[in-house]
Amino acid sequence: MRHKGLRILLARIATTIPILFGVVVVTFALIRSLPGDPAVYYASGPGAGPAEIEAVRRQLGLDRSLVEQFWRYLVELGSGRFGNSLQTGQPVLADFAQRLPATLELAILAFAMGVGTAIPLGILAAVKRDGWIDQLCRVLSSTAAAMPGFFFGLILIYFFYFLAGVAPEPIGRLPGWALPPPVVTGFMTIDCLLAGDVELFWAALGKMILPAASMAIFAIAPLLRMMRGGMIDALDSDYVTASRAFGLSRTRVLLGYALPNALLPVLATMGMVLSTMIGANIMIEKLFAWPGIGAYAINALIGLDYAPVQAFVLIVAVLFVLMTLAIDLISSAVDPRYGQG
Amino acid sequence: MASEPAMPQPAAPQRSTPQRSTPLLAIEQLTVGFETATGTVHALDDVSFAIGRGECVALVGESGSGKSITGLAVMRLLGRRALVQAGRIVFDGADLLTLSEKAMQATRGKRVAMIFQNAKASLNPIKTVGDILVDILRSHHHGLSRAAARARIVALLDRIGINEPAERLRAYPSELSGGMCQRIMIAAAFACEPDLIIADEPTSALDVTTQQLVMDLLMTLCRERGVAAIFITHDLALASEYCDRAVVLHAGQVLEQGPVSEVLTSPRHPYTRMLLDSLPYGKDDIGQLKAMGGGLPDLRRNDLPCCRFAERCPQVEPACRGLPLPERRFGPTHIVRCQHPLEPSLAAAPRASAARAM
Repeated sequence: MRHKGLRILLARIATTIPILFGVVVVTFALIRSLPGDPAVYYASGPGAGPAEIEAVRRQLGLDRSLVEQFWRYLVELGSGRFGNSLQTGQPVLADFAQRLPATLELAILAFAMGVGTAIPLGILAAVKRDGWIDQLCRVLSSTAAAMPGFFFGLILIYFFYFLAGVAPEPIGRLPGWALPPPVVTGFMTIDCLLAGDVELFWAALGKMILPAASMAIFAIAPLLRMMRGGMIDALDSDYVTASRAFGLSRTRVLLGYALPNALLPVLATMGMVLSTMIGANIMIEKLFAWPGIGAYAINALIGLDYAPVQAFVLIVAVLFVLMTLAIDLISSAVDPRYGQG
Repeated sequence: MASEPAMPQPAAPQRSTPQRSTPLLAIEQLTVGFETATGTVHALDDVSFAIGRGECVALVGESGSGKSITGLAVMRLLGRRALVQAGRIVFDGADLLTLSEKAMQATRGKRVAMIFQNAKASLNPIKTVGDILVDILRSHHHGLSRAAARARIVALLDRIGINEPAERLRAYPSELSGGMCQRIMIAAAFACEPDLIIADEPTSALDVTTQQLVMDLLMTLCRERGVAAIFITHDLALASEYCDRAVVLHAGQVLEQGPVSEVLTSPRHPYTRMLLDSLPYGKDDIGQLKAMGGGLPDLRRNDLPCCRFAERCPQVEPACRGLPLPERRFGPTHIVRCQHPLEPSLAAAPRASAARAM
């Protein structure tokens, strides 16, 4: 019992290594199968001839065999180096460190918005089954599931920025007139507050609302469904009937006996949603010109910049693994049956 | 299931019939339907029976005959699709169906407790057994501290013969055997000293030896403390072994009720006869064993005959379908609802409990 957490940790690490290796192989292969030749791309200048192109190719190491390139890449990874970006000229990790807070800040707000909407709605829908809230939730989750986040983002921009004019310009993290506060945490809102600039804090927060809402809508569909389903299962369970039969109040049963059990499947979905928000909301970042890791990765991809793309995929994969591990550990702490048999 | 319960032998002698004048619980003409997408399920039809203080009544019948629904109706836990169309459930002078939800909540567990077939599933899997029991006790004793509640429960478990009670309370339901879970549920049921316990197939999910231990525990506790019990079962042998009276339900109708010694040995209703004929007890060869003919009618039908057994009955006649069920008395408490009750001679049969399989 006591070492269940440790056992899960070890088991997860053991399965992680082949997963990450697979990710490395697939990314390496896929990116090299893309059309376009980085050597041509980066050598193209007014006077670039075959000799220059060949020189760039050699410099990038692309003249070697694929196996040799892969081996060199693995060795680099093994010593913790992710290479340099050709576009920024900086080490990839430094680029990521600079952009990650923007992504995290947005993801956290979006996650909070999604969870804050989906959890109460899911509970209400389950408690008042087939009532109007339930019908509304059904429409909401179908719509949210069917609509890509970036499309929802476009609609939001159209209505709230273009037509109504209540939302700020959907570009970047700060209004055009503002000077950014000194970077302390990288979280714009927090840095504004640390700099004592409350007005700028509200401006920064305002900038986050539309992109965060676009990301949240993607999260609402699965969370709402899981919450409603989990809650219905719990409410129909024998243990809920039994605790009612023993005279526990409806509220006590709902919050103490049904909700914790219903949250277990939602927890797993939360991890998935949060990982996706951090790692896979490239389109939203692009749409709102948000200077996060997603926008960075897509620029690198378009620019045939191999190192950042490979690093991005690997980092996101590690993130998923860590998130799954965290959920495993929380679930096993809450549920004594978890991870047995 | 390590321990023998430290209990005296069960098989308590049949009590003298309690005073009929003031039953503890009287269900009067209870009619319940369930709204479903495919129509109303007429689950209970004109169900009436009563239980005296300290009395033990078996509610018997096939699966789907309305036994559990009767139990849940008393608890007012039928769910939102249920519709009580008529009737009263008078418990200790008050109609439970008209109580406020708050008053009903104070009744559940405290005055009427219910235990269920699947004890393990009835305990929240992510709470320790101790937390569940403490919650139950504290919901009826406001101001009782957790530590005090726990101490009382440890003492209770100890008294009913559960070994190492403090250790058990730290366990999760999935770490205990089914029999242990059911004994915990029984402890929970007695924790608030109710007047009535509704036991819905409490031993059906257990193996035969555990069944015996759990039934002995349950019934001994009831007898010792003068708690009345409704014992819902399809096991006629268990019913006749442990109960004073039996109420036979079929498709939501009470067809026969009376002392077990009469109902389950010389039944007057063809349905009770049929149930007994399908049991192996006391039969010499397989030829005497008869399968139940037909099945329960679809209770969603709107053209159910007045006697819902009519379509399976070997001696059906037109009156059975068209006329309301008559009430025939064959003793102070033996009531048969049939147009053509069986003659006692026909019914001379071996006692159901005579050859209880062990």
